[in-house]
Amino acid sequence: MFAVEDLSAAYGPVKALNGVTFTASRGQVTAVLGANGAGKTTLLRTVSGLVRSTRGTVKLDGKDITRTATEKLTSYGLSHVPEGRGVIAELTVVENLRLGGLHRATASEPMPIERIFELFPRLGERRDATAHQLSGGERQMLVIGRALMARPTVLLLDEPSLGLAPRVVAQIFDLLRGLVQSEELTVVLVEQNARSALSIADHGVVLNLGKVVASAPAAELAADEQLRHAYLGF
Amino acid sequence: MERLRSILGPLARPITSVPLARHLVVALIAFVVAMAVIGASSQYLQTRYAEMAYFAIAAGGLTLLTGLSGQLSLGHGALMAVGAYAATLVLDRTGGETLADVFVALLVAIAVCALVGVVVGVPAARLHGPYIAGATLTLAVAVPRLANQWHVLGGEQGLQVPVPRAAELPAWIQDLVWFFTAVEIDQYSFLAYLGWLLLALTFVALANLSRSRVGRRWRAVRDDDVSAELAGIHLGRARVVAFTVSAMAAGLAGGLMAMNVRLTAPGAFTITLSLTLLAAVVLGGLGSLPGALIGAGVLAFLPHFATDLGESAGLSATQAAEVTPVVYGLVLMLVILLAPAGIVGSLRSLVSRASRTSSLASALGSTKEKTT
Repeated sequence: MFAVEDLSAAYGPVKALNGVTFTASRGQVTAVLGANGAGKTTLLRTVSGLVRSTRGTVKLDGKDITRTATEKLTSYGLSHVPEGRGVIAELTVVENLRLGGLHRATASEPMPIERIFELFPRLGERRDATAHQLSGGERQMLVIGRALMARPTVLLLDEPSLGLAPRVVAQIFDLLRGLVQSEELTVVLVEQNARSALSIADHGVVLNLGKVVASAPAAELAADEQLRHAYLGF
Repeated sequence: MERLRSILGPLARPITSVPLARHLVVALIAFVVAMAVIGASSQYLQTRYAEMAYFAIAAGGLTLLTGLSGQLSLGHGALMAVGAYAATLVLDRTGGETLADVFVALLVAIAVCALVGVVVGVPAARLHGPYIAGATLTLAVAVPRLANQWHVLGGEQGLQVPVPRAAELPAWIQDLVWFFTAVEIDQYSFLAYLGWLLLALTFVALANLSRSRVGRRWRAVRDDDVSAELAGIHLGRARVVAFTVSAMAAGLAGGLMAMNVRLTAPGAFTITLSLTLLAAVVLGGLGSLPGALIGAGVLAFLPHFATDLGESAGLSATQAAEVTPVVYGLVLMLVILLAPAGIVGSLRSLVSRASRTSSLASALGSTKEKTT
């Protein structure tokens, strides 16, 4: 169980998160939705320690990870795929994937790269291509694959659909859905594209101006016409 | 047959497909060629080759730091000064007459610079872009002045550096050099051979490092620090390691420079040296070791050519010597205008473009055959 409680963060005097509380369960996709500037990305960045929280806690299976250094989080089982697909352009697909398994070299084995290629056959076909030769969709698969290399229990995904063709988005979301089942993952999915996010999510959390305004099963949110019009834009 | 191949597979692979082996083979060939060239050169040119070697070692360390880990250092001249003074002080104590003295001095130079690298690298790892440039610039300005503060460093006049005489070198080295070059080893060729041997070793080490997990970490930190951190890389540690490795190369280069110049004085380690090293790295191609070698070659030989050029144009010797900075500046500007990726970078893209057109041509040729 992944639990965020009363989490707050600020950029100088501007409060970006104001007492956000939600939980995400194992084997489920929890979608975090909301308009531009609602605090979705800040929420993930605060969980990862890229932004310092001013209040509140983040717990992973009961363990408090609020103040854990960013680079140590993967060894606690939390992987964060940032917005904008941070592939290392000069390295090959395989080398990029290996970066994700770095910290495991001393502890337990990282996920075998072949397993990633089973999940994303497209990456296997392009294993020796450098990352800058990849398409947007392939890059998104690569960063998700890199995050999986650390064998996470919780996967934070920031706008995986950004700038991708609808067909590619559907493909990635399908893969994601499959992953959640096969790997028993807890996925927290931040999305601007609320309609497609809700189509694969089990649970939805709606943010507005740094606060949670709704938290309910995905189907319920999708059915609530007023909420959809007010916050989700469809 | 298939089974035999699968058993022999890893052994049957050409040796050059293993990076470590490939680097070693290239370095060995380069060193033998360098030995032959140095052996056949005049004393003056031997000194230039030795100079090229130590500049290349320092530039190699710098290109790794700036090109791979993305930290700009304007203070590598100061690190060379640290190495030079450390080696000089050791040679002064030991007398510097045997080969062992030389290696001890160089090892001490590397060790002291590693220490300085950590001390400077730790605060520098917290800085980005222009700030790290500023911090290392301070180093370049401040360090040479320290020589005036302590009597043991010899002040403005500097310290004499003893180096071994060729006659005192072990017999097997004298024989070996004779075997390869058919010329007796003397003090100048000895320093050139030593420089190129250490250059080959340093470049093998740096090339392996850049291909290793450590090198991949540096590239990740340079390209996308947030992603690197989220992937579990400790940004500060990766940067400090890069800075320390780079400082060690500068220390070795400084030690060699001291032996070649025979005098270690603050005047040799001004900010100009730091900037020249950086220029050499940019000239050759940022992040490329062959580029660092080419850049160092330009540094070492350009004054020679520029002076020749000046004299053939009818200038007096003193006037001709003043042509050097002009030519150097011109070369630098031309490279930046015509080959912004550096000499090696441009050659590489030229080669890949040529191979692409030829493969395209053959592909077109094969379709044409099909249609006819």
